[in-house]
Amino acid sequence: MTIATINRLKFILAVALLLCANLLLLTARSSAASLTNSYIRLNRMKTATATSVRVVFKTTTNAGATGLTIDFNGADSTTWVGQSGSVNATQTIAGVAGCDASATALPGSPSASGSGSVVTVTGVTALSASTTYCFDLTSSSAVTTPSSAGEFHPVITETGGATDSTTVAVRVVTNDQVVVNAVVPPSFNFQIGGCASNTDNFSANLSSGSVGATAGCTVTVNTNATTGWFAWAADSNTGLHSTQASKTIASTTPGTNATLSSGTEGYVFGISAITQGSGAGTTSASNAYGNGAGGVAGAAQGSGLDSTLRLIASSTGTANGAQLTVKESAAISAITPAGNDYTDTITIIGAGNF
Amino acid sequence: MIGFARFMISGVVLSLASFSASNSYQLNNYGINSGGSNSTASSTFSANVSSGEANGANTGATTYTAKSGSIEAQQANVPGAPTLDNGGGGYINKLNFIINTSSNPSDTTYVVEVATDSGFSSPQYVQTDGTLGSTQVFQTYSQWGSGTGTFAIGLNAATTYWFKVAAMQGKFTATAFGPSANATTGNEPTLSFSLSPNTLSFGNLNAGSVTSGPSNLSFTLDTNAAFGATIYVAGSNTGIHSTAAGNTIAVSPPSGDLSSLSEGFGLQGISASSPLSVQSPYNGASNIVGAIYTTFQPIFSSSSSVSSGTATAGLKAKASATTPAAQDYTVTLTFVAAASY
Repeated sequence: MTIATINRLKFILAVALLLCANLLLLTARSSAASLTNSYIRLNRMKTATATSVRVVFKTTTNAGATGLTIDFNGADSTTWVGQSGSVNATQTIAGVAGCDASATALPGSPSASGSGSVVTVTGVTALSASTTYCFDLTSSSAVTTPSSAGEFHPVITETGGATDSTTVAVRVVTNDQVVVNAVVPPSFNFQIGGCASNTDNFSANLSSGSVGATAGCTVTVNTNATTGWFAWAADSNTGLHSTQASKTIASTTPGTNATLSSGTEGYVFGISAITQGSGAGTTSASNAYGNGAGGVAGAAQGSGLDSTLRLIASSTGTANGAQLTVKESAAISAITPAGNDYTDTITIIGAGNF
Repeated sequence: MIGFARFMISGVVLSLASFSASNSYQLNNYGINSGGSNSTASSTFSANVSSGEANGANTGATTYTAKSGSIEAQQANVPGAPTLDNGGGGYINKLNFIINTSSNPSDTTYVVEVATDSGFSSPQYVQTDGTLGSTQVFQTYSQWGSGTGTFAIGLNAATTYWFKVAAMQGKFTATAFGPSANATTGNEPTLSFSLSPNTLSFGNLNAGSVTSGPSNLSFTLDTNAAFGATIYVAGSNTGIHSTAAGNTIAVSPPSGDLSSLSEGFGLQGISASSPLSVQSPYNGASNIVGAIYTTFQPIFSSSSSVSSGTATAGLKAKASATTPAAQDYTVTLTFVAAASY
């Protein structure tokens, strides 16, 4: 072999070696990756406020992480802790499904603790690749936001079988709330009706052989008084009075329930029916002006009225369309003076109890 | 013929340089020269001296650097360009680097130089903790993380960094720095959010009438989050509540039409700048309002980044004839924003 041949061979060998070296330099190597679709939701963004936290992240193609850390300082120069924010050493954690990201609840029996600026989560069943997970740090003081408003960049890092990470941004603001106020003004409506011209006549002439009664009027109440309402009545004559006969068919004892008998003079006022309508209240007649046992007055039943306002009915709460039917009953004897002007004026008033 | 021979001699030197070390041996000095050579050493240095060597000019390409002369045979191989990784843009303040050993022995140590320009005008060196400093720190391939590499940390976001590596073995002079590689850190995630006003007073709610809040709620949202952002709302109660009356004015979830309901209270998204959109059940029209929940519900959302986003929402209320009267109807609504990166 000539020297030229030897030299040629050496040249070829040198070139080959150089090519091999280049190939080594170009060989690709595996590398860590970044979590995606990741967010940290502070459930209070206001400065210097304790709050719970929601964490969502999506793993990469690297599976197997069995825990993670959340460093609220991240790589910030103005840090969470440096701005008087904090991470509670005691943490409670719960995996949550959904989280507006079709996330899987963090699996296993996760537990969490805090130290410095870092929350550490352990006890996680090995995470799957390319899967979105969610969990809440449920303590109302999981973290406390910094005392100054601004942007911070926590870092979420897997631990265990995978070590992928990501940096997110959270914002701390001066106020994250709206206080809404309103007033519902008091209202009370009380109306007598159901009888023409507010006149309630006896349906027939009074007779000693029977107890007469009027047709009745209605009293309708609407109110938003939370504690209900009251109705009172008073009588101008303390009975049915005739000027012609100079005679008053007297009311029975006011405030005492009574039932008239035919042939024995007497005059009573009673609540013969109650309609509840709507509302929260329950309306009832006073015993005297009902049936004496919490119900409405029966025929010829009620109590007398005088010039003193007497409680005739009440309700326990709001009312929309609560209605009383009020009637008068009268009985005469054989010697009750005749007269065609027996009359009485009854005043009925009400008030809401706010 | 002579010129060709000279070239061939240089080629021989290069090839022998590649053969100068293996796991079991290393030729420390095999120079070809016309003079003699000798060595001297102490506990801290070794030197080989020879005369008649060719001038130690550099030759190289993008993937290797070589120097002629026997002294270079006793140095470690110049490391190739390191492998850099920015986590697909997810590394904001760090970059991962993996040393290219260029077949140096395992006891070879390496120093990593970093700069923000390709000329390395203001070089720094990776320290043992990954930070950058002014001191050259030599560590073995293993200490630099082997095939997993090490993170250089404390970097600036959205900045391109150049890395290059020099090697040293034993007491011999360190190599020159090898070719560089560069990578750019990711953009720092951003999120801004505001809400106004912070109080709203309806005044009197008259029975049978739908009353709108005295002003709308205004929101701003800005984020570079690739996967979007959401504004959430939660109430201290499910509606506007009176402690004195023990009553809450609300609509049954998810929403209600105050035009037909006897009473109610709710929230309605009025407008949102693209790509934000109003989310159900707050996307009703006229007097259809979404219920208030005590857990967070999305009211505005985007699936992509938002630039100077704005949104508005309104509150509506209606009382009935039997809505208990009270002066202290109130509710506190908390609005928060979260962005997905």
